[in-house]
Amino acid sequence: MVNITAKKQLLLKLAGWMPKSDEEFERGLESVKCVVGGYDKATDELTLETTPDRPDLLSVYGVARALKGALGTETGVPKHDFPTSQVEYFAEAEALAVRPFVAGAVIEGVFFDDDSIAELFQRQEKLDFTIGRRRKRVSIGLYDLDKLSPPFYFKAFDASFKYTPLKSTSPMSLSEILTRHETGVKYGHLAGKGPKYPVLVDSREQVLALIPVVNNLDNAVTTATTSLFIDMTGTDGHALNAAMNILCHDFADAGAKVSRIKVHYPNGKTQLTPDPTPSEMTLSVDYANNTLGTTLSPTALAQSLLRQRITARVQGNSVIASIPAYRSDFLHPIDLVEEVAMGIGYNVFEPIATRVFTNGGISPKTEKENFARDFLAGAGFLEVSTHVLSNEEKIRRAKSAEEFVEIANPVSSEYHVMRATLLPNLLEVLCQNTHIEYPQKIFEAGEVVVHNAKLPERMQTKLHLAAASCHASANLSEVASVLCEFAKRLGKKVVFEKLSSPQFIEGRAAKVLIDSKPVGQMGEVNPGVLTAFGVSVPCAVFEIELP
Amino acid sequence: MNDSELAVLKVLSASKAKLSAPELCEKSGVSYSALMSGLESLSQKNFVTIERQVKKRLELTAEGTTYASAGLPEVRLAKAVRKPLEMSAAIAAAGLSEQESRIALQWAMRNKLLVTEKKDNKTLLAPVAKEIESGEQELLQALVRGKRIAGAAEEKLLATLVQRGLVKESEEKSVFAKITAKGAKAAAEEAGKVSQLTPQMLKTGEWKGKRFREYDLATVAAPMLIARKHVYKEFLNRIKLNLVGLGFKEMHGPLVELEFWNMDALFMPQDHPAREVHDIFSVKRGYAPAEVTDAKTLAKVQEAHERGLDGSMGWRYSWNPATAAQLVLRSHTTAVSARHLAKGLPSPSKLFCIGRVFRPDEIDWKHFIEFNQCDGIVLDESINFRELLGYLKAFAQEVFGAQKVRFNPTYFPFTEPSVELSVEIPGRGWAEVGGAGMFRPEMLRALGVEQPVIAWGLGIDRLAMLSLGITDIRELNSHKLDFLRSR
Repeated sequence: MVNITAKKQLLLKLAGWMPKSDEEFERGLESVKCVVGGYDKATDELTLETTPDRPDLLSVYGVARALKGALGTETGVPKHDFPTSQVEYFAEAEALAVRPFVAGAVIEGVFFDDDSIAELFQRQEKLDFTIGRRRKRVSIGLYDLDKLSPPFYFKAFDASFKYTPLKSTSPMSLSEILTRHETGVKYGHLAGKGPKYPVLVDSREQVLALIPVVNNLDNAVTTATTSLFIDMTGTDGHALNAAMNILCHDFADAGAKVSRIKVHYPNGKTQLTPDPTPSEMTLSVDYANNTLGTTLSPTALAQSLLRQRITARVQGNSVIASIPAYRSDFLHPIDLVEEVAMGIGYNVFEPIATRVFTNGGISPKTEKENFARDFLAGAGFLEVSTHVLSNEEKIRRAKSAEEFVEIANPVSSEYHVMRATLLPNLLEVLCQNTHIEYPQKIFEAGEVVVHNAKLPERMQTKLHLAAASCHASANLSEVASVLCEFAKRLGKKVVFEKLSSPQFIEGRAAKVLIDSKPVGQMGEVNPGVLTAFGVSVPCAVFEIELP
Repeated sequence: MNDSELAVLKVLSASKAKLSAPELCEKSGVSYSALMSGLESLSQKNFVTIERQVKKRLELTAEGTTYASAGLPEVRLAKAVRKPLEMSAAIAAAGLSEQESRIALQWAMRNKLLVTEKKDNKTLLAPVAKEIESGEQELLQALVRGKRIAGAAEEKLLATLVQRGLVKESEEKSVFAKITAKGAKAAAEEAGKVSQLTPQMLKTGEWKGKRFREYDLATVAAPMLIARKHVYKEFLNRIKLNLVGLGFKEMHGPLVELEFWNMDALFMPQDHPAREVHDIFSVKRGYAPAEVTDAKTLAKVQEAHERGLDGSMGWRYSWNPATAAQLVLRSHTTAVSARHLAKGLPSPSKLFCIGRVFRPDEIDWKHFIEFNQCDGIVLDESINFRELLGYLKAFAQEVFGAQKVRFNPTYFPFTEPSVELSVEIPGRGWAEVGGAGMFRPEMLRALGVEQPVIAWGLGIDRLAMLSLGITDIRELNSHKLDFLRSR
């Protein structure tokens, strides 16, 4: 989810909408994939949660555009003719090697105050993050056009080349920016490996930006700015054109004049950017109806797409959809099917009870687990349930010798490994309950993770069963009886073999074999271990892999 | 009268004299807390009289104990000053610490053990009398031997010692009980009664004519430590049974998963934000490199990502098999669905999985990094969106007990159309309880599935909290045995 804020009154005005209740307002927004996260009446500020597939909904203009479609007041592809400006842009091969796709646009007649300028930068950042994949796929630059002299040149410069980046007071060389400037360090890896780096400059060689890292302080956008130049570079031409169209449509909806520019490539080819031509996709009426469980006519399908700002014309038993250039989330006709469903309204569909009859069933693994749980509860043990995530300190304190899986990026030192056995957790439970009445007899049936080089994923999830009996006269014989009785119920034979382990008292521990297969161990917990867990009552335990 | 009351009454009746609480505990074998409540009840019945005594007790503090043996600082200072001396020399001669010297000067002046005099512009300390008398020190040393000193001065001296923090006064409360005539009669009567029928009595017939002691029904049930299955695991089992009733078969998958099954097979591009380090736990290296052994599926998944399948454009980037072979902690049970789809399922098939998943997050009462998820899939030639909504409505009613449901469009990388389920839980309002959708054709074709598949995931922990009346998510895996025994 991506959060945006917008003035509610502005949204209602742009959408030409007067909902009769908060309920109608919220339901209306939900129908266009916007969830109301909050509203501050004093400031009229509305928080909306949008989905990451729809970067076009990151501004109040985009949301209003979608709402007008849903309300039926303005449907189909929005009509904006972006005229061509005089501004030209020359891209050179060395710079294109790092960022193969480029585009620019000119915006005139914009007026900013502190709020609207902050909103624009936030929107730029969100686009950089979502559709831009943290600037890797697409990165966006905004500049005060009146401080620049087009045409613009995208070319490679030596690392010693200098300009004054944002958040700096004096000129820095490109290599200094990449190693010392905060933004340079964060995004420098996207500027190529050197020795030359891609820079966008104007005809006087005044820097617009080290691409895609940081802009020049001298032509930054301020509240005095009335004309903008937008540059985008990236690795995915499709996403780049969509991002450019999102910003251009937003500015056009806000009343600014948006013009295209001509980009010259080294091979002599030219291209006008952005390209606002809708993309076409064919949707088979049968496919849509089979997927949705409907019997919609081709015309009805086309009507529902219109409400999603998609122009559609019927051609035989298909619909040809024209998708606005600011949408980049159409990979397959199934994406049009969702638009049809949204155009109809999800809550308009009548749910149908299943017609697919199958035999249900619990897995053998769960049956085994439940059998063990029933048995141990019947034997007087209280079930506990602990986390799979554990920590090394606890495992070492329990003198457990198992190898465990470690997390590379833990968020807490308490939970940085996965348990390989259940016993340390049972001891932890006993440790936290020393003030509670004894006897304390507890068990857990749960998953553990161990190394297994034979598996493609090198790790194996196993189902373990462990029990601890903690009281003044707890002993090995007691837990051995439980295990024998359990094996008997399973129709299996249990054998105990001598075991020496620091976890247990010497001479009072055993390996457990069920049907000749070693499955675990049992023992009287070593007093050193009990003391380490702050438990001052004797304790006998067993842990086995469930056979 | 319960057992402990009777035991106490018997002891009192035998001794006739007044007995203290510790004596009663020892002789009756009744615990202190049971004794106290027992005496209360016996006194209400006028079987015993209770006498409470409060004794003042004097106790030396740590500082007081030190001074009792070393001497009060002012006394030590006065002893060192046998003739007029400069202050620093006097303190050094007495061997006082800086803190002690401040105390010594203050109290030596106040108690007139020493005086100051001026000589050659210097301030000197001078003795007052030949013999140094300190009532405070005398009392302190008496107290340490458990004695007091005679005379009217004691009270004042004691007050000073308390004020100086050398002696602490505390109260010692003690309880004594004595049997009444009524109590003695009751004890005699009870003594003739039998408290437990024995096999011996049955064999010999001596039960005949015996009177059995009556129970106090208010206290007849003693607390019991019971064994139980875990309330949360039982809740998960109930959900499983609900799903089995709807025709679903249970499936499982590993907790440590290849990125391939957790994400690539679900058509999530490798630069998808949900694959970043703050959204997924990865496994620390130190094992032989993992591998995707299903070569056929691997090739198909690569094709789906790079060029698209089934008429899709795909994500149009260079897909890296090494990324797919990295290990992560399963972040959703949809990974289990992907594994089972790739194995080849007959049509129709309905499967579900309830299992633990892991995601980095802040840890507080609402969020934890390990939780349970419930996922399900239906594979069938003719399954469609309206049937998906039908399943969601059935879950809302059967699993959540909700009458009203609402469906909202949403986004998941692996489903299209995608839907979010909200239900109105009686008395609690609307809550988002799950996400669902139809698996994308790119994903299904890559896994070799030709039929449409619907999929859903329910937020099982939130439901458990609502159903079990738990407000802190960490309580679902509570370590508190008294809580577990009580549920």
